[in-house]
Order: sequence, then C-alpha cells, then structure tokens
Amino acid sequence: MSTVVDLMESRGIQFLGQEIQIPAGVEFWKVARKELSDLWERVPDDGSVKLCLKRDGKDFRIDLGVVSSAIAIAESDVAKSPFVAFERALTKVYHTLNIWKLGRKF
Amino acid sequence: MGLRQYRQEMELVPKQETVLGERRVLIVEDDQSLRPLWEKVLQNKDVPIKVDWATTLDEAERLIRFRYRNGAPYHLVVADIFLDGPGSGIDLWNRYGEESMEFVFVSGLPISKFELLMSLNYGSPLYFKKPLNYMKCSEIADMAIGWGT
Repeated sequence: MSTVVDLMESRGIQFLGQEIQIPAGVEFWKVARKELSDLWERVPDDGSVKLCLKRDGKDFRIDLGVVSSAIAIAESDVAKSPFVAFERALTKVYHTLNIWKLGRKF
Repeated sequence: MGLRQYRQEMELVPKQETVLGERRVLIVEDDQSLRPLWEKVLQNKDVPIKVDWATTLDEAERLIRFRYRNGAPYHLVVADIFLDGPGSGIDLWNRYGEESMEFVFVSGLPISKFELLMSLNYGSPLYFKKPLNYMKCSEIADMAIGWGT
C-alpha cells in the first residue's frame, strides 16, 4: 500500500491523517485513494490535491483542497462518519470545480 | 448543442433525471425472493418511488455515493443486516447512515440481539423483524413518502 501512496504523492495527491484510528480505516482510505485519483484527473494539469483527516471531538473532519496556477479550492466537512464527511467535502469541491470550468467557456 | 445538454456535459445537471415528487429508496437485501413483495408495495403507493437494489455492502455504498454526488440522496435506505460478500448492513449504517433521511434495518435477528449489536454503534435506526409482509413493507415505504423532494 505504501508504494501506491508514494506513487500518488508523486502525481500530486496527498493524504494526511492516515495514522488516525478510524472505523473501517482500510476501506476508507481505499475509497479516498480512488476518488482523489478521479478528482486529480479533472483538475488543471499543474494541479495537486490534498486530503486531510482530523478528529473533531467525537466526529471526523475532512479538509479537501485543490491547488493549481488557475484555481485554488478548499472545502471541509465534519460528520460522525469519515465516509460521510469525505463525501460531502468532495461534492462541494466538484461543485466549485464545475462552476469554474463553466466560467472558462465564456 | 442545447444549453441543457451542455450543462449535463459540464456535470452541472444530474445525468439521472428526477421526477418531481419522486421518492428515492435503496433496498439492500441479498434475498431476491423479497423483491416481488417490495415491488408490489411500492407500485401501490400514490407517489412515484424510484427503487434501487443492492445485494452487497460495496454495491450499496457506490449507489449512495452516486446519488449523493448527483444531488439526489436517498429518502429511505432499507438494509438487511447480513448481506452477500464482505461487510454488513451495520457497516453501511456506520459509514453512510447520516446521509440518508431515513434508515431502516430488517433482519431475522431477535430485537434483543439487534439492540445489543447497535449498543456498540452510534445511533438508533428503526428495526423491523423478518419475516416481512405487505403491511410491514408498506409501513416502511411510508417513511420515504413523508419527505419532500
């Protein structure tokens, strides 16, 4: 797994908080890797993507960011489940990214 | 290219069209013999109900994520505890229960055992003990109808 993560980091996809104990952690990071790879494919060529998982009391906080020379997006969400927090943050990022893409057409 | 098609291609409009007033239900159940019962119950409701089926945890999670990403989360998730393959309905509840407006468990487990299982997890979703019949399924389906679009 560390080889996969190293490869992703070399592409500009970062994961922070993997040391935090979470329920179904293996499944969570598997989903996160797949979704962030998909997201990375959709950001500008010089873009990077970062996911940060933290504890927020009894809940989990996900900070998700996209950075490139053309756009910077930072979204976060807090939920009892890291899966839900991630899904909500990711949806917000896609929403902003898609509006930006639409704006570039005009 | 019309504006709507353009916006769909830019992923600003969900590719799955939703009908006004439609309720979205996910049934996570590996016992396919129950499918005709659920279909009969849901067809007899006065509101349009879109049903998706999953027999595994992985399939259910993908559907929940897909619906949420397209701005149309499920109004109701009905999940058996024991599913095909790895993972259980309880795993689904723990991971995505917050995302559903209503979440109902169905299983043959005695309620005391269900309560013991849930004491180790957060929240207290509703539980219907199998065997299911038309009345029980109809009562469950009414939970989805209570939500607006």
